[in-house]
Amino acid sequence: MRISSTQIFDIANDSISESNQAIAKTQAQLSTGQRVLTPSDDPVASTKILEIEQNLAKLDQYGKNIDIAENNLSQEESTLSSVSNLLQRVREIAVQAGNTATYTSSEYAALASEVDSRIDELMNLLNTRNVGGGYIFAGYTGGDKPFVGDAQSGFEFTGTDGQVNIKISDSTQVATSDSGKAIFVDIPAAQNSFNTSESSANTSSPAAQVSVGQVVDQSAYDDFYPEDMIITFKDDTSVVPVGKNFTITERSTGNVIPGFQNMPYVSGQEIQVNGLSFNITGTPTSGSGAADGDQFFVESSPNQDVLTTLARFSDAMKQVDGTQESKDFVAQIVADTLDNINNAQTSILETTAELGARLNTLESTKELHINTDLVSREIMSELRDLDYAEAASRLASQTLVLEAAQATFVRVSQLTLFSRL
Amino acid sequence: MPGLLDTAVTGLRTSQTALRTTGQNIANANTPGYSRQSIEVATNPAQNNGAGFIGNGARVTAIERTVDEFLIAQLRTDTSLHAELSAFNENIRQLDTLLSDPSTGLSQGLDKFFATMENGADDPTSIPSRQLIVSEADNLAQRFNTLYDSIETVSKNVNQKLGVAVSQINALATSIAEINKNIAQSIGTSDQPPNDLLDQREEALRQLSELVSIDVVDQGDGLLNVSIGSGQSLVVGGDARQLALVDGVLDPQQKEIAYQDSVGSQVISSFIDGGEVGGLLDFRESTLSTAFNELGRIAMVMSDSFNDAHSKGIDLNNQFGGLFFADVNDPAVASTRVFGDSNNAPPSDRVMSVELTDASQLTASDYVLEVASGDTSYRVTRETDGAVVFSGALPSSFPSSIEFDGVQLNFSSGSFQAGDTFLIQPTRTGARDIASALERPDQLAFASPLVTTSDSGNIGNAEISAGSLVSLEDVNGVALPLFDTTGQMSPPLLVQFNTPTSYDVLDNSDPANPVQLDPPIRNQTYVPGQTNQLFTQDSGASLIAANGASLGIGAVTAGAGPLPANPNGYPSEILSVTYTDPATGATQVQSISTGPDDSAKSIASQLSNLSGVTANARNEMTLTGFAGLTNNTPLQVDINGVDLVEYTAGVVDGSVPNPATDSAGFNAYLADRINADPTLQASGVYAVAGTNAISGNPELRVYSTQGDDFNVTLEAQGGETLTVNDYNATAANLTGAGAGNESTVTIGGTLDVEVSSDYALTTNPILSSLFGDSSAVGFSKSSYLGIEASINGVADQGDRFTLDFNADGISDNRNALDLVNLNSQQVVDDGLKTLSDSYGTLVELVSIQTNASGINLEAGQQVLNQTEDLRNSVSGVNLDEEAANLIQFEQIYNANAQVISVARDLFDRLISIF
Repeated sequence: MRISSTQIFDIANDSISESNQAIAKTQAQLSTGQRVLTPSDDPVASTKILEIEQNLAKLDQYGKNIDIAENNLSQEESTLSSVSNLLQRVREIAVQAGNTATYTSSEYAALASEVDSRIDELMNLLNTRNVGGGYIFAGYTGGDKPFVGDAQSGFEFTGTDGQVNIKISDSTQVATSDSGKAIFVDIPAAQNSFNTSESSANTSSPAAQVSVGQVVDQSAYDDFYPEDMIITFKDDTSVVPVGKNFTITERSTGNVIPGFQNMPYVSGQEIQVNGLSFNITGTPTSGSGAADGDQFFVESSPNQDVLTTLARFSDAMKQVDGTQESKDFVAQIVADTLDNINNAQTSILETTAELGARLNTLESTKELHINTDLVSREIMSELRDLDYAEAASRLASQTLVLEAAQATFVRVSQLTLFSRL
Repeated sequence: MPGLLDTAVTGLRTSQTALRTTGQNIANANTPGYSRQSIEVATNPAQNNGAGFIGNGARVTAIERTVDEFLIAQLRTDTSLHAELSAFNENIRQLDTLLSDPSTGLSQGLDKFFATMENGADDPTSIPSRQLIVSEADNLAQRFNTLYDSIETVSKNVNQKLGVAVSQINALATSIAEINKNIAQSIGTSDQPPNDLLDQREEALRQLSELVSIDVVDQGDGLLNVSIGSGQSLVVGGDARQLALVDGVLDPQQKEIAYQDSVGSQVISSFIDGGEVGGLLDFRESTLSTAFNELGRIAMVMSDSFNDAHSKGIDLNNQFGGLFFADVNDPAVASTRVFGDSNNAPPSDRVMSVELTDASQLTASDYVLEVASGDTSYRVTRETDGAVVFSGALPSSFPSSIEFDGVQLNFSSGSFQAGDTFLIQPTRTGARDIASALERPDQLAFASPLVTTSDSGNIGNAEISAGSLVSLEDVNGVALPLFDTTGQMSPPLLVQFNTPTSYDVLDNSDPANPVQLDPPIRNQTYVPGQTNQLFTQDSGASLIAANGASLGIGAVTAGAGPLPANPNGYPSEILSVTYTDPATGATQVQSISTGPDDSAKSIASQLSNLSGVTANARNEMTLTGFAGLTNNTPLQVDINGVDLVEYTAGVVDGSVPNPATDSAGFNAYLADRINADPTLQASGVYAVAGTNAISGNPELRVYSTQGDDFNVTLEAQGGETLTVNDYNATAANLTGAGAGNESTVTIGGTLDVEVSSDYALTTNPILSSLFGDSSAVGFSKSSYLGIEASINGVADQGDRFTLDFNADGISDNRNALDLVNLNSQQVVDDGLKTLSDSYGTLVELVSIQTNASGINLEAGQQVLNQTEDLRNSVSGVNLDEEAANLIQFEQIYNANAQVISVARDLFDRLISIF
């Protein structure tokens, strides 16, 4: 074939430029350590790389989530252990208080005051806050104190049911909090118990309060159990002389509890009904005609919260006046309190066991993540990373080609007849 | 001698021409498009001098260029192909880098954003974590915007390059036409080919073929005609047509190539292929649009799904979540998604907009709406596959709208006319329009508005789920009442178990006196040990409460016992359930015909057999007036064949309280007897001994959870009465007439019928004795509340659960988790892809195209190199060859000069003789 002079230069140009390109790419690969520099270098691998990168980012975040979850659970665990220790101390007091034959009313008063200080301590524990300032046992309403009230007006759990879940893998969420209601409120009581509360529809301001109350006659209450009662304030003119008065009805039937139709109201006066004793304080709104006024609920419950257990225990001890009757009552309350504290500790133990299980889940998930992370990185490395030995030898051969092209060009370009003319 | 001299001179001339041609070759060795030239030499005509013909030397007949026309044509084709691939590759590589680079791509942005979201969910009360989300949402939106801008820059560059190419084409076409004229002139004046002009023209054609693929036709007379695309002529003889870059007819942003003359312009972009222009157009069509649209779709789906999920949560201020990202259906943006054809008939007053309705159905395609030229029928075509997604007739009144592929096209106003064309780009600018709408960290709605509580007094171990908000709107987009008032749930709900296996869901606004909802959710069956959903999840479900005149209490009969049970007196009616297919409007009717005296339980069972219907029967009666009875023999109250008053040795047992004096005690006695009876228990009958709220008298409330008829029979001393009331408080008296005589009455039950979406219940007659007026407004009421919750475990009678607004639920992260889960949810492409998948697919698509175009470009380069090689091999100058020629022609010249010298010698010799 005939070769024109341009071709000689073209060939040299092309081959040198191609070699340069190849060397530049190898150089970029060597300096980044990556085989795939842009997705188009290997579309299949780069799609996979993108997926793995996402996965790694997720795993990284899950790792952080797990750390936070572990923190939360550890805090809850240590708080529960403090509560358990506190209950242990109260149990010792209860055992002491069982010596009704030897203890005097002043000694009972001393014991009661210790229990009262324990109640304050327990309140603090139940209202423990996390680093972010949220109450850990409040359920969803972490911004508000979940356990409010005092031994006189009774305790109330104002939090909600509900747990905060943290996502620790694509398909797993772990609860990192527990509502105080489940741990400290819904504790099976030794005897049928009850809770008092004000209706949310009440209009009096300041709101009239109903006290936490006591079961004063367990057998009478057991007969009535599990009915609930509603205390409804009626029209002032229903009684003579005209004044605030209330009627107590059975919730399920609407039947008036015998003897509790239009009872005159005196703030703070003890109301004894069906073996229960409690009082209402404040100025409830009266009814008007057939319309009802403020309402209060006395709800039967198989459960009793731990604060109420302690409060009722303290209250019973304060009422000891030296009579055999009051001591018998204390003896009964002590027996109930011991049972109730047992149940509370069981409940705490159950929760602690559950926390342990969750921590285990966290631990094993963490390990799984670490393994997945390792495997993913290995795969990614295989897909993306450069084989240095191969690249180095490739660079050597490419350099050789370039040198050869350059040398050839120099030699060939000198071959011209004109130089001989 | 003159002969010899003349001959030598011709030789000198010939070799001089040869030397000049060689010189020309050497001079142009590097000139692009130059074809080497050589001379054709012939002998001059010989002279007959008698002895024979004697030669007269040589002459140059032509100077020729060495070319191969086929190779030239091949070179043009290969040049076009190479230039096309090269332009495509150059641009797509930019895109490839842009999408995959960690600093510009979306992938890392998404990862980072979702990581921040998870951080926020881990600690929902933390303001710093929330602040980080607010900033990161803004960053993500900006990343979308930046990516859009970068692609937009690539797109603008394409337009600019097209502009440059068009002016180059115009210049080349003009110069080709000019050369055409010159060549024709040269050929006209001499019969020798104008070699250099030909070379110039060929080079111009080659340069043109770099810009666009051309067809060259020889017209004769040395004129070449050039056409582009599918025969659009560019150069005809000495005339060149001019191209111009004009705004797209549908999309002004998209520049198009058109013929431009005094009359106007005619777009020919779609016909053009090959060359740089072809490559640019191809890149714009196939890749740039896809990149814009796919990216826009991700941005829109992300905005929409985040806004949707966010609106279902409540923030730190007990407010429902507002916009997370800017509203994708903002009217200002929605109207920029439609472009009218600039050729649409005036006036251009048509106002249209495109809104997103279902993010999962959104495609990454553009659409074209074309109104037929003859009438007002139109169709919408999806560009990616050419499928017609909607067709119809133009609306006669505005506003009007149609829906297809997850978007809603609104015709707002204007004079739509036959022949109109519109371009619809739902997703094109999605990545530009996305913006974070969050301003403050407390606006993040991490909590669910619903909180469920089990009553502390519950005896059973049943538990209620945390529950969730499913929708704030009903099927028609109207706000549901439950969460319509800020900061509360109206009404709060109470789930109350009447028996361990049946419950009501009540309005708990007044906790002392919960009342039925409207429409009621009552007498629901509870199955222990399985998850019992409390609320219908069918947003179109509605409930019909039987409310007819014939329901309830029947006639009293009296006579010697034992009397047979009275029929309940219910009439025979035809009940039909009509299903209307929402897509086609076709209807399907199922009917049942109730028998006369069928119990509510039986009617409910027949209705429940129909598809789309759940009927729930119940019955209720109240016995009052116990004071009108005495506990003397033959007192007997019988309910459904069960004698309630106990007898010992033929007389009323001493334990039975005397109703005349202790009616409350007798009431309680009857209730105990009913509740203790296994037969009645088995059929779901239970009783409550209560007190009338108004009169204060005892009353026995008897309920049937299954809707059986109540058949009450009284046997008593003459004149003693018992009053039986049905649930409407319609009363009947049973009167005693001594031993052996009975008085009996039957109370029929009632039922609630729930029908699914698109089902409707009709009755024949319309004024139904069972259901009331089925044509009346409010006959059927929506039973959809928009929330979800379930109870499982073993419940006990009296157990209660409440559902209320999650006020101050700042530690609640349920909605935050819902937002986080959008990361792994397949929200794009009808449940096929996650957001990241979707972006990954785009990157993959572009990278595959880039990879393929790189390979194609290499092949194109090889082919071009080979053809260039061949052409150079034929037409290129070889300097060595020319050097040899130089020597050769120099020698010939020298030889001819020598001949002249010989002639002079001869002449001198002759002269010297004289």
